[in-house]
Amino acid sequence: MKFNIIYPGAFSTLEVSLDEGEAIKAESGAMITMSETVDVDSKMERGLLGGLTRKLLTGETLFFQTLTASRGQGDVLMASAYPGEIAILELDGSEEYILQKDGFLAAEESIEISTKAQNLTKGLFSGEGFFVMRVSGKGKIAISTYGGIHKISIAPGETTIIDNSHMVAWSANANYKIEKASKGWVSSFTSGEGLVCRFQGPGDVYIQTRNSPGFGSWIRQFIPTR
Amino acid sequence: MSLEQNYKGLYYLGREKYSGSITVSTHGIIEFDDSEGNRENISLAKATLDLIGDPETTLQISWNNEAKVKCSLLCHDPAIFDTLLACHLLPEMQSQLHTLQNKQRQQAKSEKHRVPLYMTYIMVFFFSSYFIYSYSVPVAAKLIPYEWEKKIGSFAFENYQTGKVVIDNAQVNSAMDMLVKRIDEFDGSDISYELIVIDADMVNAFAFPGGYIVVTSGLIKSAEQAEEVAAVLCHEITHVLERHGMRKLLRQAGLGILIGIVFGDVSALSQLIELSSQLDSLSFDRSQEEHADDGGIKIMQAAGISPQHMASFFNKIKQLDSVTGDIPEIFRTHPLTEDRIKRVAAADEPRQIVAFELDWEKVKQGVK
Repeated sequence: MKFNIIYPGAFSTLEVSLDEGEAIKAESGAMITMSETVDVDSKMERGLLGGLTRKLLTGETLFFQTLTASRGQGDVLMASAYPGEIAILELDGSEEYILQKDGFLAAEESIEISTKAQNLTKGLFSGEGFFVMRVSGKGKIAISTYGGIHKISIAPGETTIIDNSHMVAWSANANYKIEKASKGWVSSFTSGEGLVCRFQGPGDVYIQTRNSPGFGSWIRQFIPTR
Repeated sequence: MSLEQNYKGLYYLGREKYSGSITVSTHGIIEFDDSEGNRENISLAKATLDLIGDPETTLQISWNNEAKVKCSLLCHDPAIFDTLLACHLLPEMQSQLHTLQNKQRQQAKSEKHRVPLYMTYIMVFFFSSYFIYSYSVPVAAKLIPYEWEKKIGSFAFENYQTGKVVIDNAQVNSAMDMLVKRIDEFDGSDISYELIVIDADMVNAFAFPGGYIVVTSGLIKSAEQAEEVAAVLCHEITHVLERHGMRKLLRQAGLGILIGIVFGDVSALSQLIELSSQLDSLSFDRSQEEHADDGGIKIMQAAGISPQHMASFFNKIKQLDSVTGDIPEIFRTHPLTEDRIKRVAAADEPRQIVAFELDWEKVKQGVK
């Protein structure tokens, strides 16, 4: 199985080459084109309860689509609904990742996806909501973002600060805390940053260089009210 | 001597990450693959142990190498604790490992239960807010100052009139004034009413909060006597007096506005005004309709109008309804049931009936 990113940049598209018998799971509705050898099927990851939990809590789809190259080699093109980059993560079983709810695009079948509940402070202030996705297992996973993807590697004991709503995927080893952007409450909010996430290494954090809520509030001023 | 127990893990050399296997030996020496794939080792005695991650279930063994670069080994397999505890370690190290193992188990357990727990919280929250909401609507409706209600009503009333033809006929106006005046005298409240007749074939009448009443020309045309229209007005006015319009508006508004009202937040008013444009299309519930019938009957009895006019009007509309198969507008928002007709028909007559001195046929001509 090969994952390849075509049209890198704002309109990144994922091309997956499947050998006969190989399958991938993808966000429902992500498929653009596929070879005639590929069968598309929908599957509730982790059963009905798991699917419902994911749908209700993370806002992700109830079903994932499964694309199987059942009648010979086949290619699939996939993209998310919004403009932005795609990155590929390779998991070898030694590390788990946490994904924000819109971050998942596609993954090899061997990858397991479950719902993770964040604690109260993170749920309220991280900008990612109470429920995120936890991915584990061995294989490749494609994540999509709004904006560009930037990988930050943090050394053991090192900390780095990321504005909330900018995280896309982060290693489960790298825990983070919510804190105010500067020492005082007033300056935290007047600086426009408010609350930020302080990540503690070791671990990798994939961030999006733009955030959709920020873009949403910027574009709202140009929309005629009536 | 090696315990031959391999675990999958990560080796961090500063920011560089290498994946490989970790092997634990009996004397607390840990072997791992370095950046070039060679086996390296570190003694547990020289390293710091802690739990990291979200949840804190990954064991981190960290130390500084000769170049003072921070290094660490990460392993999230819980079985590594048992292997480490089987090593010949100092008692302090053993007890630290025991503490970490217990913490790791606790963290893993609470993580497992967190999603179902949150699901339960969410369900409890929704159910309780639904109950709080349904009980708080009548309370909040009472808390709304009358000036607010008047403002909301007048906005909705004005809004409703845009694009509609208001009938301005002297005969019609004076007839409606006469009806409203009589009802106003006996309704037991200080509210003054404002009524318009709009040109529309549908049979309908409704009142906005604050006493603004709309009657369609279709309703006037279908009434055989002024008393039938008066009966409908008595019913509508009871909705105003009982603040049913405000309640349905609040039900539509949502919890945020309700909280705003309870705490006297003025911005809640503007939100209610915005919502009020939907008032003519929101329907009342059955008990509100029955209340409005009962209240209407009381006003009619006091004002010398026979409640039978209300019953006869209901019956007439019902027949009209069965002929055309359409539900008249008035009953789309005011559901009519057999029970309601029976209750109205069984109402006592007023002590003295005072007829309206009107030429009703002329009034009907006025709306054509």
